[in-house]
Amino acid sequence: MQDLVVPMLRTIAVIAVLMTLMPYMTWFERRVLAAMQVRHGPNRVGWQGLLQPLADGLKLLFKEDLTPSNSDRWLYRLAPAIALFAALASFAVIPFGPTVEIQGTMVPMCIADLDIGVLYLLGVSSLGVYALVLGGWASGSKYSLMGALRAAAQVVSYELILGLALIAVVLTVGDTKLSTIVQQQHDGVWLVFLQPVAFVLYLIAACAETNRAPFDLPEAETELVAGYHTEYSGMRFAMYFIAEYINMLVVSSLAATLFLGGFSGPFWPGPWWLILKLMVFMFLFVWLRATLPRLRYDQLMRLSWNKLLPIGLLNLAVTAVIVVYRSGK
Amino acid sequence: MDARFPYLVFACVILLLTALGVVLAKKPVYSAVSLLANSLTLAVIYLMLSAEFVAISQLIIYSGAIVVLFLFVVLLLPQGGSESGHNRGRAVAAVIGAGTMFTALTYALLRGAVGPSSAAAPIVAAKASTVLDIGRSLFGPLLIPFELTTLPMLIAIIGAVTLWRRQEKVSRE
Repeated sequence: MQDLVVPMLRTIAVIAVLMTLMPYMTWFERRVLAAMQVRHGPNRVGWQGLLQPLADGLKLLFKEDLTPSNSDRWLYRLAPAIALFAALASFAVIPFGPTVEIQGTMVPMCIADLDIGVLYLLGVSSLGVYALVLGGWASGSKYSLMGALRAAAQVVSYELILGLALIAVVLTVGDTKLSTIVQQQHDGVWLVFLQPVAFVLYLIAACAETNRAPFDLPEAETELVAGYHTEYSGMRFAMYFIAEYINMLVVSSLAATLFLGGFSGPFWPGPWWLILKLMVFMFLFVWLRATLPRLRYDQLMRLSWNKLLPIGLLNLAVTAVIVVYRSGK
Repeated sequence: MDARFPYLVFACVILLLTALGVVLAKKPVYSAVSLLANSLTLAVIYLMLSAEFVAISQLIIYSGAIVVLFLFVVLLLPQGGSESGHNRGRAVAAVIGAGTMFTALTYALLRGAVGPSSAAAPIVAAKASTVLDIGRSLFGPLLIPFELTTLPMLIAIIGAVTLWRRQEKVSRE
């Protein structure tokens, strides 16, 4: 019984933390973006606008849930659920602290520390594309379909780059288990110094995978209204919205885990270090959005297939040669 | 009996239902979505059999890449969302094909012809197949068969490019 209760409690705790963190990410983004554009941002509801996310959430909850008459009813309802599932499930393998002992039982600070952690992340995050494609198609509107097509092409192209960056990391460490990767960085140096090329590739691909500016073509508001979620309203729209922010949290914490030593750090307990490192990447995301204009579609594709892919392959080849050379000595 | 057995049976029932969904769905899009559910269930069954790596490969390759491609094609087809009529000839051919396959597999299983080959023994010997074990087998005893599988894929790629090139020439003229 206990071996079932403890993982469930861990899962619920992690989802609760994510769901609490996520609204404040929107607040953080709006305030930082406002500061960069010399505005104030939301600062009326509560101290410094801290209750604004709550108000937004309540507003979305009470909005009417519209289903367009032209839509495919089943898939239209299924798609946001897939989005949220893929986003939440990805977080399962990210370790957020060393194993602690609570009343005699060793509790790992991670939902499931799989041997194939990195591969699991690749697999589950690749399911997210279904939410975009099915949602966009099932809406039965041309803007949604355009957004869905763009999303599918973009996510599939950049997944490749993400994979190449991750494989380089796995080659360097020699294990796909995320806790081992953290432990090795704790004992040695952060992987960002060993794999700087993979780090940059990962950041670009992560930006594209989460459909964030400057890669927000699937939901480009100036041309496609809102892309694949144009027709969604109320909580169904909110599910897409939550999924996008949780995806940002996942790629940020994965970046922290793989390249910046994850939860390891002096003085503070593990989770605080992970959150701190995660915030650095979240700030970077907002910073990019405030700085860079949206890419044109052909630029997006050329960047992925003509520039990043050869760089990634070259990086992989060089890494492989070095790994073999060092293990031979 | 293993405690996991009921779950395994449950997963197999879902697998069967989604497989039927692929064949019987009236709209091509629903067929594609059933195929996705089918492939995910298959991954779950692999996980239950503690073949983690195979499960994740199923997820990444089939669910994450191949079914996306199917869905993409189906959605882009003008009749992707419309109901397609039943094609009796195709149904009969499918039943004959599946029946033959089923009989052959059952026969082989009963005769004990299908089993772990000697080359795959290192994987089977290990209790849980980790990435390391599979990598060792793939690049050790199974190296030549593994590399040979790339040949059909190369042929398929060249074939696809050739077919497309031929069409391109026609459309240009």
